[in-house]
Amino acid sequence: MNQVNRVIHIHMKQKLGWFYLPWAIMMFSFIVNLLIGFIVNGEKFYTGGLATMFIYMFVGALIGVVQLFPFSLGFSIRRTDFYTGTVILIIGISIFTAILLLLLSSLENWTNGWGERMHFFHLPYLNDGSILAQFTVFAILLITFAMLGMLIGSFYLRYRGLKTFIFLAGIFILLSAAGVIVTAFDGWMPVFEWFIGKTAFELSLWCLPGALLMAIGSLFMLRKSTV
Amino acid sequence: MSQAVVEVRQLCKSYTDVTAVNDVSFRMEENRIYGFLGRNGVGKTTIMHMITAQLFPTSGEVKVFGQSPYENEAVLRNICFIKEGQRYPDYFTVKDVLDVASTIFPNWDAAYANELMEEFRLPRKRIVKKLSRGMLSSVGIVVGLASRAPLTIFDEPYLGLDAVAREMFYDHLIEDYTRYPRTVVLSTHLIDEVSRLLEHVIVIDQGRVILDAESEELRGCACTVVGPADKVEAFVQGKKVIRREPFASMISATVMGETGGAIQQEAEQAGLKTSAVSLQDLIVSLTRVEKAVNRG
Repeated sequence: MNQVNRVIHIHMKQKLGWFYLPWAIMMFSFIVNLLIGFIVNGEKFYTGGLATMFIYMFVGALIGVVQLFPFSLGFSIRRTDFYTGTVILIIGISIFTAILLLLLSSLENWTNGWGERMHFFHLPYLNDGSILAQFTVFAILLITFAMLGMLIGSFYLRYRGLKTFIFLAGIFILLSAAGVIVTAFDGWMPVFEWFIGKTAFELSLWCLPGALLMAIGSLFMLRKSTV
Repeated sequence: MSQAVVEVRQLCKSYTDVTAVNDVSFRMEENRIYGFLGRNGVGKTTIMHMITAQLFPTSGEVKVFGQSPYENEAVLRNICFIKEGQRYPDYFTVKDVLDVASTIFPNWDAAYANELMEEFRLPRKRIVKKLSRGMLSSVGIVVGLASRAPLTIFDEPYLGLDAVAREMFYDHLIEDYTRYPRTVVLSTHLIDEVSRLLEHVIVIDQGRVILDAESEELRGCACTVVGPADKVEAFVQGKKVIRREPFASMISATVMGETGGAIQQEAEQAGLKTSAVSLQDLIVSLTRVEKAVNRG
């Protein structure tokens, strides 16, 4: 077993955080929504329960990195190997989850929304396009959310609490400033048009360079992190 | 001279407001047991973190097995560093930790680990974060011993352990070391307890090495002389006095001399009472002197 496999092995000990918890929360949300479906009796309705999965990828990666990095370093594992193992795991879990979501989404379509016209896994816009396009949208979004979690986790490991807070506050300020500038120049229409003009598949492709940059940033920070 | 397992040259580590490690140099050789001694907070743990590439030196050089340890798999896989502040993930059980350790350390002995688990009465299925302080220390001891890493470092390995468990640890360490020789570093402030194990002693005080010697040499090199003040003063003239305590007209003084107990004979010839100095007393005296000098 090489070092990267060992890191994946360590991550797999944390199955509760990576698999059971997100699926348990999402399935709970699914069941609650299905019950509501019975109550409203056949009216077509949409839910946001699917968002759990994406948010949890972010949380899972963040917690995974912050908890397992100091442990692994203490157990004589190289920083780069920890990073490589974590990235491979994130991509693996994202692909696995995307396939499961796609299966559930197809099942939802065939059963006419579980017999209750409920849209939980199969959402308009997000699930437009071919099977491959839908798979790509799911997988890329999951990976992007996880990479964001890994980036913030790595930043915290490198610079600790106060600087992480300043970093996040700085990003919020930059985003707000961008919002103000767009408003000042009456720029919202072109921005909306740009988004509306793209399919979910095209937008997900735009996430790729972002995910890649976040992955590279994490590597640089983890290589300088200490216990 | 056998191969240097650890070689540290002019190592410094400073933070914005404090210098934790200041110009430290030493070497550790293959298959010996080292005592890395000193009071709490003098930089022992910081130095060991730099040897294992978990912290970065401000300046100086660290070589382990002749190479830089940073991101060096060949070096790191041969190090097992058991530290007091090891962090464990929230949901890891004792079994998970041993399982991970067995995949990481090439010389891992699973049967020996099981035997140790029994002896230290460790519950396999317990979450590590819910263990008592003593049990947590036992997990470290089991990993450290069963890893049989060519460089095994124990940093305060027995916090919260009772005397029985500590004796068990010392016995196992000596026994397993005899069968599978490796370089062991024991960092501790319970010097008396480990002094029989140590072959070489490095004492750190205020971020510096103040003593680096074979424990054999140290055992005979200091003695305490007791007698009338004038006689003692005459005797210690020109010698290195590391502790001096007057009471009434008498003085008790601890003097450092050459190895081999020569100083003891000399004192007895001068008609003074002498007594041997334990390793612990010697180090306590030395670290006190160092402080006084620094203040001056």
